[in-house]
Amino acid sequence: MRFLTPVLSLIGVLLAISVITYAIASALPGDAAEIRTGKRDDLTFEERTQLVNAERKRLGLDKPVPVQFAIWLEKAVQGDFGIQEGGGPVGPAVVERIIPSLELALITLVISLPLAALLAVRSVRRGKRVFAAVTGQLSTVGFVVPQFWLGILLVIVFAVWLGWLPAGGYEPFRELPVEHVQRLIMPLMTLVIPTTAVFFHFMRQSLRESLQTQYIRTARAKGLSESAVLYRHALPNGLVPSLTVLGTQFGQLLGGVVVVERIFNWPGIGGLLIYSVERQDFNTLIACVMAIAAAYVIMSTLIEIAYRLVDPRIRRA
Amino acid sequence: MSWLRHNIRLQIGLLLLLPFLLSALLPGVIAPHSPTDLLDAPFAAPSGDLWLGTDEIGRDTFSRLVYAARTDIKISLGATLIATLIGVTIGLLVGYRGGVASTVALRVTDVMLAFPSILLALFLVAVIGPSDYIVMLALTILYIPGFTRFARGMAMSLRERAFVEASVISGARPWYVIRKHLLPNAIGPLLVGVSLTAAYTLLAAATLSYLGLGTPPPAPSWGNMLQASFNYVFQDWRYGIWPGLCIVTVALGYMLVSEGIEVAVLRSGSAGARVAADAPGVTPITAGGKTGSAP
Amino acid sequence: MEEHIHGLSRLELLKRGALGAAAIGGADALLRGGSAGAAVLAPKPGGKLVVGIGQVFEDINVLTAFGYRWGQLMAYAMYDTLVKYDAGGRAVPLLATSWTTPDPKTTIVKIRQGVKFHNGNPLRVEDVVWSLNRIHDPVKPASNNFLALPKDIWGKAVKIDNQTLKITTKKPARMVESWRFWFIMPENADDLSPNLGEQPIGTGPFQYKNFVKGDRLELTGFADYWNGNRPYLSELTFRFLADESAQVANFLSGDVGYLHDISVATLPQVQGKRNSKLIPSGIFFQWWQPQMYFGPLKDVKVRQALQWAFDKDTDNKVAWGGRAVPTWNPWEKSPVYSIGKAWPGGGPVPHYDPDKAKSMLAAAGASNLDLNMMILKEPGPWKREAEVLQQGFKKAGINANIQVLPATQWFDRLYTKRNHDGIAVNAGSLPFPWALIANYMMKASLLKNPPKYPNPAIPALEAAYNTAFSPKNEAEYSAALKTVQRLMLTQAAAFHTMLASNQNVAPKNLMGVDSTLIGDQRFDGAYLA
Repeated sequence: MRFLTPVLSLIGVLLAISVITYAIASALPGDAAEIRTGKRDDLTFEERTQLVNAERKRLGLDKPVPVQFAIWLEKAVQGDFGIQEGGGPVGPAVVERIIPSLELALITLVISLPLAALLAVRSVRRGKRVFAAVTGQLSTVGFVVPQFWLGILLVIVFAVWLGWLPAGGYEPFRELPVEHVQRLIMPLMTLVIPTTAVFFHFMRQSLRESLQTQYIRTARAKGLSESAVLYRHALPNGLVPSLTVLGTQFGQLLGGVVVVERIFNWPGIGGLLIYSVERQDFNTLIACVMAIAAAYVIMSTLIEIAYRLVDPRIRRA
Repeated sequence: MSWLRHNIRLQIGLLLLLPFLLSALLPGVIAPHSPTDLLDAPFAAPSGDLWLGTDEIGRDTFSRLVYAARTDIKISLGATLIATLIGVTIGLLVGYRGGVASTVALRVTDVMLAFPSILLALFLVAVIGPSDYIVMLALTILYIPGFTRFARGMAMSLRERAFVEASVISGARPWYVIRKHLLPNAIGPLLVGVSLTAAYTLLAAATLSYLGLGTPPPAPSWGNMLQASFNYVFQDWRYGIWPGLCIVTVALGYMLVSEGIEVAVLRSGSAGARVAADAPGVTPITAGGKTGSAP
Repeated sequence: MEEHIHGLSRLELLKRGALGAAAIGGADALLRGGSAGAAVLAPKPGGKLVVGIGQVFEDINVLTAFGYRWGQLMAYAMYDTLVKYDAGGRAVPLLATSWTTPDPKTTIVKIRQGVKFHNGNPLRVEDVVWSLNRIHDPVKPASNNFLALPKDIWGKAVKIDNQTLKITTKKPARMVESWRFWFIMPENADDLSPNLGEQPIGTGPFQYKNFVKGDRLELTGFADYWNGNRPYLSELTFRFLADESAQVANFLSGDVGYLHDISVATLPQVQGKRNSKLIPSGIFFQWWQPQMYFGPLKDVKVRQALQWAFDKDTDNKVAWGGRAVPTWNPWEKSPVYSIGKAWPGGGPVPHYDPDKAKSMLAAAGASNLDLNMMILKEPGPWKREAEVLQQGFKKAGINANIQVLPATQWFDRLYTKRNHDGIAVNAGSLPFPWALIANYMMKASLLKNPPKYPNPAIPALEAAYNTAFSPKNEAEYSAALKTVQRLMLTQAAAFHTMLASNQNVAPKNLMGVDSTLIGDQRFDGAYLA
């Protein structure tokens, strides 16, 4: 029962986002009916306008925006997101593109979290001052380096100078697993480095704080080994605040994925999004936004549920 | 100046930021040339007159970096400060009052945080056209929710404190309480968040510029200089180093400043510091760019 | 670039094939042997080629995809047209084996027998007839219907017998040159499911294998292609690379073997590397066109002042690497159509003279002119060129403001709404982009409130242009062309035209790539020696 609230708020948030997106997208300059009608300079202004109006009616754009939205919503909950500008249904196209993006984001998390945890634990150990200092500085640097710069540097080093990895592109895992992984490495590195840096920063912080607590001092006084103290007592308590960061970092990650996709030609949702804004493909645009927002919101909700599971003391404000 | 003494981080951070802040304020004084004049052949080697050589059409790279400092710092600090002002005001108010307003604020910020950040900028640019101010506007909107949640959280925890309750009991009006008790104690952690956000907005602005959503040519920004340099990276890879270094240095400066302030706050033992120490989820919230679902 | 409106080849000018090359004169030097690559070694079957192109495709439906990389490169791999063009611009039979024009309004075309579609169905006259009519459908849009014959000229196509079709037009029309973009699809392709975007079906040398949206298009050699042993390549992949740095990175790392139409900026980074050679194709012709109906450039005196404000030499040096040939009139050297080298009306040919521009602007009451420069957001020399020209304008007291727009908006402002304000960059392939310029700018009737242009020159230009497309005879044609040229130049209807060949970087052992004067590239005869 305590999970009902997060799930309800998930739906509410998605709904709110769809309303906002629809409203903003409707304000975009450029008219789908005009674009589809095309140049047609063999017609007079009146003739062309007639065609444009007919197209507008056909697309349902002559109705007021809230009505259009309602129609869109009704179809959307049934899974029908309309047709793309180039033909073909929007739904499957968006699904096809969000999977590679999610792949990047999720694998990044899977690598960054444990990596950051390990580094953070090591750096708060007594007697590891040098390590702590070095990783501290590295993490700050890893965080301030712009991702797109990092990406290009990796391409220069690994694809051009060393020739170890291909410069970009995508091969489906099912068909060419080796090639798929080869092309995954650099985009992943570009995302993992800053993400690990942020997680490390957080975890180290909360580890330090939890090490100050009475609870830990008692454990140490009892004579438990350093490792036991860290792994069995400090880490679990230190992790809880990290969960909140996980949510926001996932959001940042999705944003970073867009840029990384462009550098490495990874066919993810970012490219489709930019393309649909430029091409004014309204249906695809909305679907892309909803997909990204849904990914973020679902992740957030899962984290909130996990948070509640982990810490029953939390009450909703 | 006591907060500065013995605070290595703060010192180094400010030191790193200083040349860039000066460049932002007085570019005409620091830059030897105009950022748009064509002075030599493209990718000319550094010389006594053109310290870092020229860019892809023959303009002085160094001067462009200096003028770009103005653009980038203006955008990052501008967005940060405005977002802070608006976000904190709203956050403190609803946090202190509680009730419906507080919950509504929570929900609204939820939605805002779930909105893909790049998209907002893309939309604004598509509607209005690329410019510095659009980037600043988009970034401001993006970072308001973070500050709102932070201030709300702070207000809610401080509200319970004895000195605040005492003040309320003695009949003080809400605004007075906020001003006299909440604000001073929240300042420390807030400044931490501000400088961290400044780092974030700088990186975000550079990314948006790289995607072509920022200043239209020929005005320089580090992001669009990097974008241009990538097209010639195999011809003259050194050219891309400078704007990248500038971004890294300034972001580093902001981060060190924020860490330094954090240290100073913890040392000062103010109520805010104690709140920050007790509730690790509350402070460096703006780290990570946006606040999470902290209660 | 999205809208190189190439070879709006109703450019019967093309028919004067040799004319193309001769007319360009100095530009001939730009075309170094083109596709000749006279095969020293006999074609060897097999081999894979990955071609990198500078546009990202999400759509490969022949009815909706657009862009010159589609219409002059990718589409030719999957679809055939009635004719193709040789290096000199002459039409060569492809799906049409012969054609005659018994009268100026009728064309009889014989269709090749034994041609198969990729799905095994034979090509019938019905398919051709349907395709031609579909492209000219007055209601249903097709991406290339702006390259169709105008509504007031096109009549219809009908089947005569199993090998012949007849095209009738309402007015005399030369259409052979337009056939370049009329891709032949299966009859009733609109009703196909999966549609042509998901499963392209053509008669072309390569057939569809896989399309990863936003990344690449994979094709394999079509075993039943009608043309002898062609194609020789077993696999042809088009890889989409949005940035110049991606183009270079992918080439240097070996992921891409052939870089199509790379910009002047990219060339030094790849030239000579990885055992490659340069294949030039087409002659790329760029110009800036003004908004003449409203805004600051409405006054012809202001436009004429602007002719002296373009710093061509610096632009060529900086943005074009010195490889471009600035010209005001591509027909300068043509023995038949030239209006000579002298500037119409006498006086010096406009060149960069900022002081003169400044005083002319002052005389026209337009000192401190605010000028919008619209360019495309795409790899290419546009940005560099715009920035260089902008500096040049500054010296003439002109405040130029660069607007970078994605393709759809550029297209929208230029062709659909025609509401761009200032000058906009445009490009095409020779031989006659002047017609393109005229086409986009002259059609006042298309505007909502067609202006009553005070100066009769523009309507005169429009009339001459229309005549050039539908002349009664050779003399009328020649006279019309000359009028068009004269008016274009004196009315400042276009600025700062630069000629440069498209540069393609290819593996040294790649032979048989068909590269024409108009920038078409085909790989049906390509092989790796």
